[in-house]
Amino acid sequence: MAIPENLELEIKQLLVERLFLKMKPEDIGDEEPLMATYGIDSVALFELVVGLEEVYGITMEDDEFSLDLFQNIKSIANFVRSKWTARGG
Amino acid sequence: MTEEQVLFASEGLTLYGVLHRAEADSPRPALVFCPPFAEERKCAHRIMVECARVLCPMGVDILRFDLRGCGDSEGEFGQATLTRWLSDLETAAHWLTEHAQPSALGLLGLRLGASLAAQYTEQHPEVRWLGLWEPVTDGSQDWRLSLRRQQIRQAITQDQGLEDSEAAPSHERGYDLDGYEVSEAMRREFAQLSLLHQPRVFRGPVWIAQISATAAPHRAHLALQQAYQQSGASCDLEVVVAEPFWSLLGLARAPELIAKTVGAACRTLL
Amino acid sequence: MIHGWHTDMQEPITFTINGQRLFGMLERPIVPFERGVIFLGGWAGTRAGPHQIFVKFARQLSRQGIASLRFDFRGRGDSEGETEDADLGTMLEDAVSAVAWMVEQVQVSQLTLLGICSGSQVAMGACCTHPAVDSLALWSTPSVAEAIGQRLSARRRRLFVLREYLAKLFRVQTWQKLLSLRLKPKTIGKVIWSEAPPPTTTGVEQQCLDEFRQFDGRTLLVHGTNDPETKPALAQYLPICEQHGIPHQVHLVRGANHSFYSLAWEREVVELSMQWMKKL
Repeated sequence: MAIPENLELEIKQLLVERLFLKMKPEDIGDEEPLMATYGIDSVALFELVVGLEEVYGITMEDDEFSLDLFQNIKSIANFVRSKWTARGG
Repeated sequence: MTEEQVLFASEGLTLYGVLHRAEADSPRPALVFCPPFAEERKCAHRIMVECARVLCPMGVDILRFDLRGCGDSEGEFGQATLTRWLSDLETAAHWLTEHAQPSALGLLGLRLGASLAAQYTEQHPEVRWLGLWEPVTDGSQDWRLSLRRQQIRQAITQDQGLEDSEAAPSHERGYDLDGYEVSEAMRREFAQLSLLHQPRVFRGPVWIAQISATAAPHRAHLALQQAYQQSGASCDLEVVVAEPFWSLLGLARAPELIAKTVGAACRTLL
Repeated sequence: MIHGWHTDMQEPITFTINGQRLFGMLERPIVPFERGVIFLGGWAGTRAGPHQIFVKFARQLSRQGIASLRFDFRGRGDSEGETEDADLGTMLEDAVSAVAWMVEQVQVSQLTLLGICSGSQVAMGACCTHPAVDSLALWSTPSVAEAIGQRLSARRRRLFVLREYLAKLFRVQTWQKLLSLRLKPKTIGKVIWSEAPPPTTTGVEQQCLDEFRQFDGRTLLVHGTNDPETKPALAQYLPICEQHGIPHQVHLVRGANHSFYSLAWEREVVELSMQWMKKL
């Protein structure tokens, strides 16, 4: 699986889908603070983590998890790219 | 329809339940609802009640009950194991059979409750219908996700701290899963739980409801369906696009799931 | 006795309000008792309480000779009533009914109302409805201004989005986007008001607060230091207690979140509440 060129948009689509947000993915800014803007609570964040693992085939290790990873779309995309790079995918 | 609170004994412990009795002619079918694990029960409870109140008037007696150490049943959560809970489910099904004298017995479970129901039917293939809402097919994977959920909750809690925050103190025995004491014995049984072994004894019908944000069937549910079908069982898999209500913090509704469940159950049991 | 109706201490009960049955569990000590506790759960909860904290505490109370009632509000748990019809007003009616039931059927002469989150607001609202109520244990009580916005996670989302959009309205770039149709007003509206507005309960919340101001019994307030609702709650309720001469005690559980989601925090809340209750 190659890293998609529009990974940020894909992650926005995942966010809208998994959190049942009634909005278009493209309306989410790349650097918008997600938790403050969309009121993401622990349940929503969990769904997002599970979604990322399922869709991108990555596993988040216990010591990798940090709220900083979910600051915004860009930080999430960077994390996904780093996981892919690490496994040579 | 009438509803009455009931108590019955399981291995010396008193279990609590609510029996929904239909007003249809006897004999009529009956169903045991198997609840999910730990705090998922709190979030999902009202939806299971609503489902019972829609299904019962169709002519099905329903027993909802609390496993030992859960809800109003006796026992300590920390002393429970999946084996003991399966025993509680046996007791509940036996009690319902004795008191309702049903024409057919079915089971409906949510998450771990669905897994227990599936395990029960492997020992009781005479069951006439098995409904599985988001069954846990791989216990070790689900345990990992439970710990991840807890980790997320703790991180958010610490992030919201008024002062220098501390993580919840660790628990001296077993695991503290957000206020639920999970024994090492329970954790081991969780790790060993798998519904994907073949062949399966139960021949169905089985109805799997996937409740998810995505419309595409998950690999695990497809694998479970395949496991049943390859053993000669009839097994349908239906996707209901909805939020995972068993883990929501607020109030949840699931009208589509209830409607589809009632349809699936009635097609077989009535 | 039906199906072995009750165990030594635990007894399933129902009581009726407006023709609808509320399901509950009475813990009745086997020794003579005078005091009872009524547990009042949160908005979306059941009579077990978060991580079954009410069940565990109720059983401990019973062993200490204190009766207790846990019940599901109408539209919640096992109780009758439509889920969507429940609001703070109906919860308050149910609590008042529960107080009357405990006094008449269980014959307690002293009552403590113990609530968590919305349940503690309900406890405040019911505190002056019967002379038997002489104490309140209030866990994680939201401040009135906060309660409307935070009762449902969907509502919280809307408020966050609204704040964000209001901030953006004052930026030039926003107007440029709007005028160029890159921001669709319909989209903004949809995001903010994607669900039907929740029932308005401001009147009832104010009523609960006003009742509390009249209370002359003892009050225990318990909050987690890592619950974002703690600071506004203490800022609201401590001055009320001071100004109205309400004997009160505050306990902060270090590091705890809104529902005390750990065995250690739970133990601390229960032990502290038990010690406080024994001194009543």
